[in-house]
Amino acid sequence: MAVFNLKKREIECKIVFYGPGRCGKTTNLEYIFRAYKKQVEGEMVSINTEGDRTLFFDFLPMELGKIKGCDVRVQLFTVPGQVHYSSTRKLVLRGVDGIVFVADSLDVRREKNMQSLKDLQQNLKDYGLNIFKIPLVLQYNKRDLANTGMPIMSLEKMEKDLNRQLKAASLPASAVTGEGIGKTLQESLKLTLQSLQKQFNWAQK
Amino acid sequence: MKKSLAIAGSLDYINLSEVFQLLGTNSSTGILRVISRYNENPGIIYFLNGEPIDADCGPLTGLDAVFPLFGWIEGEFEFSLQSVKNKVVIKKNRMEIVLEAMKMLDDGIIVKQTPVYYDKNKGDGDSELPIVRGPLVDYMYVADEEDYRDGETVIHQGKHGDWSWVVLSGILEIRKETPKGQIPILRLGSGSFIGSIAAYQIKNTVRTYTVVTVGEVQLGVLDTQRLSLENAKFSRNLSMLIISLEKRLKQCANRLTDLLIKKTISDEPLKGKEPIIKQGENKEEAFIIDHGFAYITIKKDKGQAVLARLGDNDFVGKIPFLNMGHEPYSASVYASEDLKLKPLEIEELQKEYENLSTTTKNMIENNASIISALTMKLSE
Repeated sequence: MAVFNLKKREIECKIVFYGPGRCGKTTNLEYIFRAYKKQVEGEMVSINTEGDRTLFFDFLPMELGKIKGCDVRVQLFTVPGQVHYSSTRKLVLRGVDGIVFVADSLDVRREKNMQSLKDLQQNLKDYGLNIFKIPLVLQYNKRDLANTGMPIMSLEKMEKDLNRQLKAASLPASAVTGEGIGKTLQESLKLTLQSLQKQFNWAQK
Repeated sequence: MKKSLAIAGSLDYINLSEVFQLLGTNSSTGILRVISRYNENPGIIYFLNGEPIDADCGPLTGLDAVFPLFGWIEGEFEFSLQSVKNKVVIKKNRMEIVLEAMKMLDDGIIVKQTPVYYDKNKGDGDSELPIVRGPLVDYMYVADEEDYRDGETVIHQGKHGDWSWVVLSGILEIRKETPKGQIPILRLGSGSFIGSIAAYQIKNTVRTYTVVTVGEVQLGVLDTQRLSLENAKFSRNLSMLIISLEKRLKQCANRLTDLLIKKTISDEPLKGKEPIIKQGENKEEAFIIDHGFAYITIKKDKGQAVLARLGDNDFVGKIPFLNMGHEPYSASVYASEDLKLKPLEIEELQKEYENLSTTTKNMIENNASIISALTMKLSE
Protein backbone atom coordinates (compact mmCIF):
# COMPACT_ATOMS: atom_id res chain seq x y z
CA MET A 1 0.00 0.00 0.00
CA ALA A 2 2.03 2.91 -1.26
CA VAL A 3 1.53 6.32 0.30
CA PHE A 4 0.84 9.28 -1.98
CA ASN A 5 2.21 12.42 -0.46
CA LEU A 6 0.57 15.25 -2.37
CA LYS A 7 2.42 17.95 -0.48
CA LYS A 8 5.81 16.61 -1.60
CA ARG A 9 4.46 15.14 -4.85
CA GLU A 10 5.98 11.85 -3.88
CA ILE A 11 4.93 8.22 -3.87
CA GLU A 12 6.40 6.25 -1.02
CA CYS A 13 6.50 2.50 -1.39
CA LYS A 14 8.08 -0.36 0.46
CA ILE A 15 10.23 -3.25 -0.75
CA VAL A 16 11.18 -5.94 1.72
CA PHE A 17 14.06 -8.42 1.47
CA TYR A 18 12.90 -11.67 3.02
CA GLY A 19 14.62 -15.00 3.44
CA PRO A 20 16.05 -17.52 5.91
CA GLY A 21 18.67 -16.42 8.45
CA ARG A 22 22.19 -15.88 6.98
CA CYS A 23 20.89 -16.06 3.39
CA GLY A 24 22.43 -12.68 2.60
CA LYS A 25 19.50 -10.28 2.94
CA THR A 26 21.55 -7.78 4.89
CA THR A 27 24.56 -8.20 2.55
CA ASN A 28 22.17 -7.35 -0.32
CA LEU A 29 21.04 -4.17 1.36
CA GLU A 30 24.55 -3.19 2.47
CA TYR A 31 25.76 -3.57 -1.10
CA ILE A 32 22.89 -1.45 -2.45
CA PHE A 33 23.56 1.18 0.21
CA ARG A 34 27.23 1.42 -0.82
CA ALA A 35 26.88 1.01 -4.58
CA TYR A 36 23.97 3.42 -5.02
CA LYS A 37 25.04 5.94 -2.40
CA LYS A 38 23.85 8.88 -4.51
CA GLN A 39 20.34 7.54 -4.60
CA VAL A 40 20.18 6.86 -0.89
CA GLU A 41 18.66 9.43 1.39
CA GLY A 42 19.72 9.56 5.00
CA GLU A 43 21.59 6.93 6.95
CA MET A 44 21.14 3.21 7.06
CA VAL A 45 19.34 2.07 10.19
CA SER A 46 20.65 -1.21 11.52
CA ILE A 47 19.12 -3.01 14.48
CA ASN A 48 20.83 -6.08 15.85
CA THR A 49 18.29 -8.78 16.34
CA GLU A 50 19.47 -12.13 17.63
CA GLY A 51 21.20 -14.08 14.86
CA ASP A 52 20.05 -11.61 12.24
CA ARG A 53 19.84 -7.90 11.56
CA THR A 54 17.04 -5.58 10.60
CA LEU A 55 18.12 -2.95 8.09
CA PHE A 56 16.33 0.04 6.70
CA PHE A 57 17.04 3.01 4.43
CA ASP A 58 15.30 5.31 1.97
CA PHE A 59 16.12 4.86 -1.69
CA LEU A 60 15.31 7.30 -4.50
CA PRO A 61 15.59 5.40 -7.80
CA MET A 62 16.47 8.07 -10.38
CA GLU A 63 16.17 6.19 -13.62
CA LEU A 64 12.54 5.32 -13.04
CA GLY A 65 11.13 8.75 -13.78
CA LYS A 66 7.86 9.86 -12.36
CA ILE A 67 4.44 8.34 -11.89
CA LYS A 68 1.69 10.87 -12.53
CA GLY A 69 4.20 13.62 -11.91
CA CYS A 70 5.28 12.24 -8.57
CA ASP A 71 8.78 11.20 -7.56
CA VAL A 72 9.17 7.73 -6.21
CA ARG A 73 10.70 7.01 -2.81
CA VAL A 74 11.36 3.42 -1.88
CA GLN A 75 11.80 2.21 1.67
CA LEU A 76 14.09 -0.79 1.64
CA PHE A 77 13.86 -3.21 4.55
CA THR A 78 15.16 -6.54 5.67
CA VAL A 79 13.12 -8.46 8.18
CA PRO A 80 14.34 -10.88 10.84
CA GLY A 81 13.17 -14.41 10.17
CA GLN A 82 12.81 -15.60 13.77
CA VAL A 83 9.27 -16.18 14.99
CA HIS A 84 10.21 -14.27 18.15
CA TYR A 85 10.35 -10.91 16.35
CA SER A 86 6.70 -10.70 15.44
CA SER A 87 6.32 -6.97 16.17
CA THR A 88 9.20 -6.09 13.86
CA ARG A 89 7.92 -8.39 11.14
CA LYS A 90 4.45 -6.96 11.41
CA LEU A 91 5.75 -3.42 11.13
CA VAL A 92 7.95 -4.21 8.17
CA LEU A 93 5.48 -6.33 6.24
CA ARG A 94 2.41 -4.19 6.79
CA GLY A 95 1.65 -2.34 3.58
CA VAL A 96 4.56 -3.93 1.70
CA ASP A 97 4.52 -3.23 -2.06
CA GLY A 98 7.17 -5.62 -3.30
CA ILE A 99 9.18 -8.56 -1.99
CA VAL A 100 12.61 -9.91 -2.80
CA PHE A 101 12.97 -13.44 -1.49
CA VAL A 102 16.65 -14.21 -0.99
CA ALA A 103 17.30 -17.93 -1.12
CA ASP A 104 20.55 -19.54 -0.02
CA SER A 105 22.21 -21.66 -2.74
CA LEU A 106 24.04 -23.83 -0.21
CA ASP A 107 22.94 -27.43 -0.37
CA VAL A 108 22.46 -27.64 3.39
CA ARG A 109 20.08 -24.69 3.41
CA ARG A 110 17.53 -26.29 1.10
CA GLU A 111 14.96 -27.01 3.82
CA LYS A 112 15.50 -23.58 5.39
CA ASN A 113 14.67 -21.88 2.06
CA MET A 114 11.45 -23.77 1.63
CA GLN A 115 10.41 -23.22 5.24
CA SER A 116 11.12 -19.51 5.00
CA LEU A 117 9.11 -19.18 1.78
CA LYS A 118 6.22 -20.92 3.48
CA ASP A 119 6.51 -18.55 6.44
CA LEU A 120 6.47 -15.62 4.04
CA GLN A 121 3.29 -16.88 2.45
CA GLN A 122 1.65 -17.23 5.87
CA ASN A 123 2.88 -13.84 7.08
CA LEU A 124 1.56 -12.13 3.96
CA LYS A 125 -1.72 -13.93 4.36
CA ASP A 126 -1.97 -12.59 7.92
CA TYR A 127 -1.88 -9.07 6.48
CA GLY A 128 -4.39 -9.85 3.76
CA LEU A 129 -1.78 -10.24 1.00
CA ASN A 130 -1.36 -13.04 -1.50
CA ILE A 131 2.12 -14.30 -2.38
CA PHE A 132 0.91 -15.10 -5.91
CA LYS A 133 -0.26 -11.53 -6.48
CA ILE A 134 2.37 -9.39 -4.77
CA PRO A 135 5.33 -8.30 -6.96
CA LEU A 136 7.89 -10.95 -6.06
CA VAL A 137 11.46 -11.58 -7.17
CA LEU A 138 13.39 -14.69 -6.17
CA GLN A 139 17.11 -14.28 -5.79
CA TYR A 140 19.34 -17.36 -5.71
CA ASN A 141 22.18 -15.95 -3.68
CA LYS A 142 25.75 -17.12 -2.95
CA ARG A 143 26.41 -18.46 -6.47
CA ASP A 144 30.08 -17.47 -5.93
CA LEU A 145 30.46 -20.34 -3.46
CA ALA A 146 30.64 -22.71 -6.44
CA ASN A 147 34.22 -21.48 -6.99
CA THR A 148 35.24 -22.42 -3.47
CA GLY A 149 34.07 -26.00 -3.97
CA MET A 150 31.27 -25.80 -1.45
CA PRO A 151 28.25 -27.91 -2.42
CA ILE A 152 25.55 -25.64 -3.85
CA MET A 153 22.28 -26.43 -5.55
CA SER A 154 21.81 -26.01 -9.27
CA LEU A 155 19.56 -23.18 -10.43
CA GLU A 156 17.20 -25.75 -11.92
CA LYS A 157 16.85 -27.49 -8.60
CA MET A 158 16.18 -24.21 -6.79
CA GLU A 159 13.60 -23.25 -9.41
CA LYS A 160 11.90 -26.56 -8.87
CA ASP A 161 12.00 -26.27 -5.10
CA LEU A 162 10.84 -22.70 -4.76
CA ASN A 163 9.40 -21.37 -7.98
CA ARG A 164 7.44 -24.23 -9.49
CA GLN A 165 4.08 -22.83 -8.47
CA LEU A 166 4.97 -19.18 -7.93
CA LYS A 167 6.48 -18.64 -11.39
CA ALA A 168 8.01 -15.40 -10.15
CA ALA A 169 10.94 -13.57 -11.73
CA SER A 170 14.13 -15.24 -10.52
CA LEU A 171 17.84 -14.58 -10.87
CA PRO A 172 21.21 -15.77 -9.59
CA ALA A 173 23.32 -13.44 -7.51
CA SER A 174 26.24 -13.09 -5.20
CA ALA A 175 25.68 -10.43 -2.56
CA VAL A 176 29.34 -10.58 -1.47
CA THR A 177 30.69 -9.62 -4.90
CA GLY A 178 27.63 -7.56 -5.84
CA GLU A 179 26.88 -9.66 -8.88
CA GLY A 180 23.18 -9.72 -9.71
CA ILE A 181 22.26 -7.42 -6.83
CA GLY A 182 21.57 -4.38 -8.99
CA LYS A 183 19.59 -6.56 -11.37
CA THR A 184 17.50 -7.97 -8.53
CA LEU A 185 16.70 -4.49 -7.30
CA GLN A 186 15.86 -3.22 -10.81
CA GLU A 187 13.59 -6.17 -11.42
CA SER A 188 11.81 -5.68 -8.12
CA LEU A 189 11.41 -1.94 -8.69
CA LYS A 190 10.06 -2.57 -12.18
CA LEU A 191 7.49 -5.09 -11.01
CA THR A 192 6.51 -3.04 -7.96
CA LEU A 193 5.98 0.12 -9.97
CA GLN A 194 4.06 -1.70 -12.68
CA SER A 195 1.79 -3.03 -10.01
CA LEU A 196 1.42 0.42 -8.44
CA GLN A 197 0.61 1.97 -11.80
CA LYS A 198 -2.03 -0.64 -12.33
CA GLN A 199 -3.50 0.12 -8.93
CA PHE A 200 -3.34 3.83 -9.62
CA ASN A 201 -5.05 3.65 -13.00
CA TRP A 202 -7.62 1.39 -11.56
CA ALA A 203 -8.29 3.90 -8.78
CA GLN A 204 -8.75 6.70 -11.31
CA LYS A 205 -11.53 5.03 -13.22
CA MET B 1 1.68 30.00 20.14
CA LYS B 2 -0.47 28.87 17.23
CA LYS B 3 -1.83 25.38 17.74
CA SER B 4 -4.13 23.25 15.62
CA LEU B 5 -5.17 19.63 16.04
CA ALA B 6 -4.01 17.71 12.98
CA ILE B 7 -4.78 14.11 13.84
CA ALA B 8 -6.10 12.19 16.82
CA GLY B 9 -7.27 8.68 17.43
CA SER B 10 -7.08 5.43 19.24
CA LEU B 11 -3.76 3.57 19.54
CA ASP B 12 -5.38 0.18 19.18
CA TYR B 13 -6.42 1.29 15.70
CA ILE B 14 -3.34 3.25 14.62
CA ASN B 15 -0.38 2.26 16.76
CA LEU B 16 2.48 4.52 17.75
CA SER B 17 4.85 3.18 15.09
CA GLU B 18 2.30 4.03 12.42
CA VAL B 19 1.83 7.49 13.89
CA PHE B 20 5.62 7.98 13.77
CA GLN B 21 5.74 6.94 10.12
CA LEU B 22 2.80 9.14 9.23
CA LEU B 23 4.32 12.21 10.89
CA GLY B 24 7.64 11.38 9.21
CA THR B 25 6.17 11.03 5.73
CA ASN B 26 4.48 14.40 6.16
CA SER B 27 7.57 16.06 7.69
CA SER B 28 5.31 17.31 10.44
CA THR B 29 6.31 19.77 13.14
CA GLY B 30 4.33 19.80 16.35
CA ILE B 31 3.53 17.98 19.57
CA LEU B 32 2.30 14.42 19.93
CA ARG B 33 0.43 13.63 23.14
CA VAL B 34 -0.26 10.03 24.15
CA ILE B 35 -2.44 8.97 27.05
CA SER B 36 -3.17 5.57 28.56
CA ARG B 37 -5.54 4.45 31.29
CA TYR B 38 -2.68 2.55 32.88
CA ASN B 39 -0.42 5.54 33.33
CA GLU B 40 -0.76 8.65 35.41
CA ASN B 41 1.36 10.81 33.14
CA PRO B 42 0.79 11.48 29.46
CA GLY B 43 3.64 10.93 27.03
CA ILE B 44 4.66 13.99 25.05
CA ILE B 45 6.89 13.84 21.98
CA TYR B 46 8.13 16.90 20.12
CA PHE B 47 8.52 16.53 16.35
CA LEU B 48 10.54 18.79 14.07
CA ASN B 49 10.18 18.16 10.32
CA GLY B 50 8.98 14.64 10.89
CA GLU B 51 11.72 13.64 13.34
CA PRO B 52 11.24 13.29 17.09
CA ILE B 53 13.66 15.67 18.85
CA ASP B 54 12.60 15.53 22.49
CA ALA B 55 10.06 13.88 24.76
CA ASP B 56 8.89 13.64 28.32
CA CYS B 57 6.70 11.30 30.28
CA GLY B 58 6.51 11.94 34.02
CA PRO B 59 10.09 11.94 35.32
CA LEU B 60 11.53 10.53 32.05
CA THR B 61 12.89 12.70 29.27
CA GLY B 62 14.42 12.25 25.81
CA LEU B 63 14.61 8.76 24.33
CA ASP B 64 13.95 7.17 27.73
CA ALA B 65 10.52 8.76 27.62
CA VAL B 66 9.81 7.59 24.06
CA PHE B 67 10.45 3.84 24.21
CA PRO B 68 7.93 2.89 26.94
CA LEU B 69 5.19 4.64 24.95
CA PHE B 70 5.40 1.91 22.30
CA GLY B 71 3.99 -0.44 24.93
CA TRP B 72 0.85 1.68 25.24
CA ILE B 73 -1.19 -0.31 22.80
CA GLU B 74 -4.49 0.74 24.30
CA GLY B 75 -4.72 4.48 24.55
CA GLU B 76 -5.33 7.71 22.72
CA PHE B 77 -3.06 10.05 20.79
CA GLU B 78 -3.36 13.53 19.38
CA PHE B 79 -0.96 15.51 17.28
CA SER B 80 -1.17 19.26 17.06
CA LEU B 81 0.70 21.35 14.53
CA GLN B 82 2.65 24.02 16.35
CA SER B 83 6.12 25.46 16.47
CA VAL B 84 8.55 23.52 18.63
CA LYS B 85 11.37 25.28 20.44
CA ASN B 86 12.90 22.29 22.25
CA LYS B 87 16.58 21.50 21.94
CA VAL B 88 17.35 18.44 19.85
CA VAL B 89 17.86 15.87 22.62
CA ILE B 90 16.98 12.79 20.54
CA LYS B 91 19.59 12.10 17.87
CA LYS B 92 18.23 8.84 16.45
CA ASN B 93 15.92 9.09 13.47
CA ARG B 94 12.34 7.97 13.59
CA MET B 95 12.73 4.64 11.79
CA GLU B 96 15.65 3.71 14.00
CA ILE B 97 13.53 4.44 17.05
CA VAL B 98 10.55 2.53 15.66
CA LEU B 99 12.57 -0.56 14.70
CA GLU B 100 14.47 -0.51 17.98
CA ALA B 101 11.18 -0.23 19.86
CA MET B 102 9.66 -3.19 17.98
CA LYS B 103 12.67 -5.26 18.93
CA MET B 104 12.41 -4.19 22.56
CA LEU B 105 8.72 -5.13 22.53
CA ASP B 106 9.52 -8.58 21.18
CA ASP B 107 12.35 -9.03 23.66
CA GLY B 108 10.04 -8.03 26.50
CA ILE B 109 12.17 -4.99 27.41
CA ILE B 110 9.21 -2.74 26.71
CA VAL B 111 6.20 -4.10 28.57
CA LYS B 112 2.89 -3.97 26.75
CA GLN B 113 0.32 -2.03 28.72
CA THR B 114 -2.57 -4.45 28.35
CA PRO B 115 -4.98 -5.85 30.94
CA VAL B 116 -3.27 -9.24 30.70
CA TYR B 117 0.52 -9.51 30.53
CA TYR B 118 3.45 -11.75 31.36
CA ASP B 119 6.44 -10.50 33.30
CA LYS B 120 9.19 -11.70 30.97
CA ASN B 121 11.89 -9.76 32.81
CA LYS B 122 11.60 -11.83 35.96
CA GLY B 123 12.49 -15.07 34.22
CA ASP B 124 11.66 -17.31 37.20
CA GLY B 125 9.52 -20.40 36.77
CA ASP B 126 6.46 -18.86 38.42
CA SER B 127 6.24 -15.98 36.02
CA GLU B 128 4.58 -18.21 33.43
CA LEU B 129 1.28 -17.22 35.00
CA PRO B 130 -0.45 -14.34 33.28
CA ILE B 131 -0.83 -11.19 35.35
CA VAL B 132 -4.09 -9.24 35.17
CA ARG B 133 -4.08 -5.53 35.89
CA GLY B 134 -6.61 -2.74 35.71
CA PRO B 135 -6.65 0.95 34.92
CA LEU B 136 -5.66 3.66 37.42
CA VAL B 137 -7.51 3.40 40.72
CA ASP B 138 -10.28 5.86 41.57
CA TYR B 139 -9.50 6.76 45.21
CA MET B 140 -13.07 7.98 45.79
CA TYR B 141 -13.97 4.35 46.32
CA VAL B 142 -11.02 3.40 48.52
CA ALA B 143 -12.01 3.49 52.19
CA ASP B 144 -8.68 2.40 53.67
CA GLU B 145 -5.22 1.25 52.70
CA GLU B 146 -3.62 -1.95 53.95
CA ASP B 147 0.01 -3.07 53.66
CA TYR B 148 0.98 -6.71 53.35
CA ARG B 149 4.34 -8.44 53.51
CA ASP B 150 5.51 -11.16 51.15
CA GLY B 151 3.62 -14.48 51.39
CA GLU B 152 0.63 -13.28 53.42
CA THR B 153 -2.78 -14.79 52.73
CA VAL B 154 -5.38 -12.11 52.05
CA ILE B 155 -8.38 -14.42 51.64
CA HIS B 156 -8.83 -18.14 52.18
CA GLN B 157 -10.81 -20.40 49.90
CA GLY B 158 -13.88 -21.78 51.70
CA LYS B 159 -14.16 -18.91 54.22
CA HIS B 160 -17.08 -16.47 54.18
CA GLY B 161 -16.53 -12.84 53.39
CA ASP B 162 -17.88 -9.85 51.50
CA TRP B 163 -14.93 -7.47 51.65
CA SER B 164 -13.30 -6.50 48.45
CA TRP B 165 -10.05 -4.77 47.62
CA VAL B 166 -8.30 -3.10 44.76
CA VAL B 167 -4.59 -3.71 44.27
CA LEU B 168 -2.76 -0.40 44.72
CA SER B 169 0.72 -1.85 44.21
CA GLY B 170 2.46 -5.21 44.05
CA ILE B 171 1.50 -8.66 42.81
CA LEU B 172 -0.80 -11.29 44.30
CA GLU B 173 -1.35 -14.90 43.35
CA ILE B 174 -4.72 -16.59 43.05
CA ARG B 175 -4.52 -20.23 44.16
CA LYS B 176 -7.06 -23.02 44.22
CA GLU B 177 -7.11 -25.35 47.20
CA THR B 178 -7.16 -28.93 45.94
CA PRO B 179 -6.56 -32.38 47.41
CA LYS B 180 -3.12 -32.06 45.80
CA GLY B 181 -2.41 -28.83 47.63
CA GLN B 182 -2.54 -25.23 46.45
CA ILE B 183 -2.51 -24.75 42.68
CA PRO B 184 -1.58 -21.23 41.49
CA ILE B 185 -3.70 -20.26 38.49
CA LEU B 186 -3.27 -16.53 37.97
CA ARG B 187 -1.62 -13.37 39.25
CA LEU B 188 -3.14 -9.99 39.93
CA GLY B 189 -1.34 -6.68 39.47
CA SER B 190 -2.21 -3.08 40.28
CA GLY B 191 -5.73 -1.99 39.42
CA SER B 192 -7.09 -5.53 39.72
CA PHE B 193 -9.86 -6.33 42.19
CA ILE B 194 -10.16 -9.03 44.82
CA GLY B 195 -13.69 -9.99 45.75
CA SER B 196 -16.99 -10.25 44.01
CA ILE B 197 -19.32 -7.58 42.65
CA ALA B 198 -22.19 -10.00 42.89
CA ALA B 199 -21.42 -10.23 46.63
CA TYR B 200 -23.16 -6.88 47.10
CA GLN B 201 -26.36 -8.59 46.06
CA ILE B 202 -25.86 -12.01 47.62
CA LYS B 203 -24.45 -11.35 51.09
CA ASN B 204 -22.08 -13.62 52.94
CA THR B 205 -20.53 -15.35 49.96
CA VAL B 206 -18.02 -18.16 50.18
CA ARG B 207 -14.59 -17.41 48.77
CA THR B 208 -13.78 -19.74 45.91
CA TYR B 209 -10.05 -19.17 45.87
CA THR B 210 -7.11 -18.25 48.08
CA VAL B 211 -5.14 -15.06 47.49
CA VAL B 212 -1.51 -14.81 48.60
CA THR B 213 0.86 -11.86 48.23
CA VAL B 214 3.99 -12.18 46.09
CA GLY B 215 6.38 -9.62 47.56
CA GLU B 216 5.14 -6.48 49.29
CA VAL B 217 1.62 -5.46 48.40
CA GLN B 218 -0.58 -2.48 49.14
CA LEU B 219 -4.32 -2.98 48.88
CA GLY B 220 -7.15 -0.48 48.96
CA VAL B 221 -10.22 -1.60 50.88
CA LEU B 222 -13.22 -0.72 48.75
CA ASP B 223 -15.98 1.46 50.13
CA THR B 224 -18.66 -1.21 50.39
CA GLN B 225 -21.46 1.16 51.28
CA ARG B 226 -20.90 3.32 48.26
CA LEU B 227 -20.72 0.32 45.95
CA SER B 228 -23.81 -1.32 47.50
CA LEU B 229 -25.81 1.84 46.93
CA GLU B 230 -24.87 1.88 43.27
CA ASN B 231 -25.51 -1.85 43.04
CA ALA B 232 -29.03 -1.50 44.34
CA LYS B 233 -29.90 0.60 41.30
CA PHE B 234 -28.76 -1.95 38.70
CA SER B 235 -31.36 -3.12 36.20
CA ARG B 236 -32.30 -6.79 36.29
CA ASN B 237 -30.35 -7.45 33.11
CA LEU B 238 -27.19 -5.82 34.41
CA SER B 239 -27.39 -7.73 37.70
CA MET B 240 -27.86 -10.97 35.79
CA LEU B 241 -24.95 -10.13 33.53
CA ILE B 242 -22.64 -9.48 36.49
CA ILE B 243 -23.64 -12.69 38.24
CA SER B 244 -23.32 -14.67 35.03
CA LEU B 245 -19.88 -13.18 34.34
CA GLU B 246 -18.66 -14.29 37.75
CA LYS B 247 -20.14 -17.73 37.21
CA ARG B 248 -18.26 -18.01 33.94
CA LEU B 249 -15.08 -16.81 35.66
CA LYS B 250 -15.39 -19.39 38.46
CA GLN B 251 -15.97 -22.20 35.99
CA CYS B 252 -12.97 -21.17 33.87
CA ALA B 253 -10.85 -21.09 37.05
CA ASN B 254 -12.06 -24.58 37.97
CA ARG B 255 -11.38 -25.82 34.46
CA LEU B 256 -7.87 -24.47 34.58
CA THR B 257 -7.31 -26.12 37.96
CA ASP B 258 -8.54 -29.42 36.49
CA LEU B 259 -6.26 -29.00 33.53
CA LEU B 260 -3.25 -28.24 35.74
CA ILE B 261 -3.92 -31.34 37.88
CA LYS B 262 -5.20 -33.87 35.36
CA LYS B 263 -3.61 -32.39 32.22
CA THR B 264 -6.89 -32.73 30.31
CA ILE B 265 -10.36 -31.24 30.02
CA SER B 266 -13.36 -33.00 28.57
CA ASP B 267 -15.52 -32.40 25.50
CA GLU B 268 -18.07 -35.05 26.46
CA PRO B 269 -21.42 -33.25 25.95
CA LEU B 270 -20.46 -32.02 22.48
CA LYS B 271 -19.97 -35.26 20.57
CA GLY B 272 -21.63 -35.06 17.18
CA LYS B 273 -23.09 -31.58 17.74
CA GLU B 274 -22.81 -28.39 15.74
CA PRO B 275 -22.14 -25.11 17.58
CA ILE B 276 -24.80 -22.37 17.64
CA ILE B 277 -22.02 -19.80 17.64
CA LYS B 278 -18.82 -20.87 15.92
CA GLN B 279 -15.42 -19.60 17.06
CA GLY B 280 -14.28 -16.80 14.75
CA GLU B 281 -17.76 -15.87 13.64
CA ASN B 282 -18.70 -12.23 13.42
CA LYS B 283 -22.04 -12.46 15.20
CA GLU B 284 -23.27 -9.32 16.89
CA GLU B 285 -26.15 -10.71 18.95
CA ALA B 286 -26.28 -11.65 22.60
CA PHE B 287 -28.85 -13.82 24.39
CA ILE B 288 -30.14 -14.76 27.82
CA ILE B 289 -30.69 -18.43 28.53
CA ASP B 290 -34.34 -19.10 29.28
CA HIS B 291 -34.04 -22.84 29.59
CA GLY B 292 -31.45 -25.56 29.09
CA PHE B 293 -27.67 -25.28 28.92
CA ALA B 294 -25.10 -23.58 26.75
CA TYR B 295 -21.49 -24.77 26.65
CA ILE B 296 -18.67 -22.31 26.03
CA THR B 297 -15.80 -24.07 24.27
CA ILE B 298 -12.44 -23.33 22.70
CA LYS B 299 -10.50 -25.21 20.06
CA LYS B 300 -7.82 -27.34 21.69
CA ASP B 301 -5.76 -30.27 20.43
CA LYS B 302 -7.97 -30.63 17.33
CA GLY B 303 -11.10 -30.97 19.51
CA GLN B 304 -13.27 -28.69 21.61
CA ALA B 305 -12.61 -28.06 25.29
CA VAL B 306 -15.51 -26.97 27.48
CA LEU B 307 -14.73 -23.86 29.55
CA ALA B 308 -18.13 -23.29 31.12
CA ARG B 309 -21.61 -24.72 31.29
CA LEU B 310 -24.14 -21.89 31.54
CA GLY B 311 -27.81 -22.20 32.49
CA ASP B 312 -30.89 -20.17 33.35
CA ASN B 313 -30.41 -16.38 33.28
CA ASP B 314 -26.84 -16.61 32.02
CA PHE B 315 -25.85 -14.69 28.93
CA VAL B 316 -24.10 -15.88 25.78
CA GLY B 317 -22.95 -14.00 22.71
CA LYS B 318 -21.22 -10.71 22.07
CA ILE B 319 -21.34 -8.07 24.80
CA PRO B 320 -19.56 -5.13 23.20
CA PHE B 321 -18.16 -3.70 26.46
CA LEU B 322 -16.82 -7.04 27.74
CA ASN B 323 -13.50 -8.21 26.43
CA MET B 324 -13.32 -11.74 27.79
CA GLY B 325 -11.68 -13.38 24.80
CA HIS B 326 -14.66 -15.72 24.36
CA GLU B 327 -17.50 -15.98 21.85
CA PRO B 328 -18.01 -15.01 19.11
CA TYR B 329 -14.36 -14.41 18.05
CA SER B 330 -12.43 -16.73 20.32
CA ALA B 331 -14.85 -19.35 21.61
CA SER B 332 -17.79 -21.41 20.36
CA VAL B 333 -21.16 -22.00 21.98
CA TYR B 334 -22.85 -25.41 21.93
CA ALA B 335 -26.43 -26.03 23.05
CA SER B 336 -28.19 -28.75 25.02
CA GLU B 337 -31.17 -30.16 23.14
CA ASP B 338 -33.70 -28.23 25.24
CA LEU B 339 -31.90 -24.86 25.05
CA LYS B 340 -34.14 -21.80 24.72
CA LEU B 341 -32.67 -18.35 24.29
CA LYS B 342 -34.13 -14.85 24.63
CA PRO B 343 -32.48 -11.97 22.81
CA LEU B 344 -30.66 -9.52 25.12
CA GLU B 345 -31.27 -5.80 24.56
CA ILE B 346 -27.67 -4.70 24.16
CA GLU B 347 -28.16 -1.01 23.50
CA GLU B 348 -30.01 -0.37 26.73
CA LEU B 349 -27.49 -2.38 28.69
CA GLN B 350 -24.59 -0.59 27.08
CA LYS B 351 -26.09 2.80 28.00
CA GLU B 352 -26.52 1.69 31.60
CA TYR B 353 -22.96 0.36 31.67
CA GLU B 354 -21.53 3.62 30.37
CA ASN B 355 -23.22 5.56 33.18
CA LEU B 356 -21.82 3.37 35.95
CA SER B 357 -19.12 4.67 38.29
CA THR B 358 -15.56 4.16 37.05
CA THR B 359 -14.86 1.69 39.86
CA THR B 360 -17.86 -0.52 39.08
CA LYS B 361 -16.97 -0.45 35.39
CA ASN B 362 -13.37 -1.33 36.25
CA MET B 363 -14.54 -4.23 38.41
CA ILE B 364 -16.69 -5.65 35.61
CA GLU B 365 -13.90 -5.12 33.10
CA ASN B 366 -11.42 -6.78 35.48
CA ASN B 367 -13.58 -9.89 35.64
CA ALA B 368 -13.64 -10.02 31.86
CA SER B 369 -9.83 -9.62 31.76
CA ILE B 370 -9.43 -12.45 34.30
CA ILE B 371 -11.63 -14.69 32.14
CA SER B 372 -9.50 -13.80 29.13
CA ALA B 373 -6.27 -14.56 31.06
CA LEU B 374 -7.62 -17.92 32.30
CA THR B 375 -8.67 -18.75 28.76
CA MET B 376 -5.21 -17.90 27.40
CA LYS B 377 -3.72 -20.29 29.94
CA LEU B 378 -6.38 -22.91 29.16
CA SER B 379 -5.69 -22.82 25.45
CA GLU B 380 -1.88 -23.21 25.83
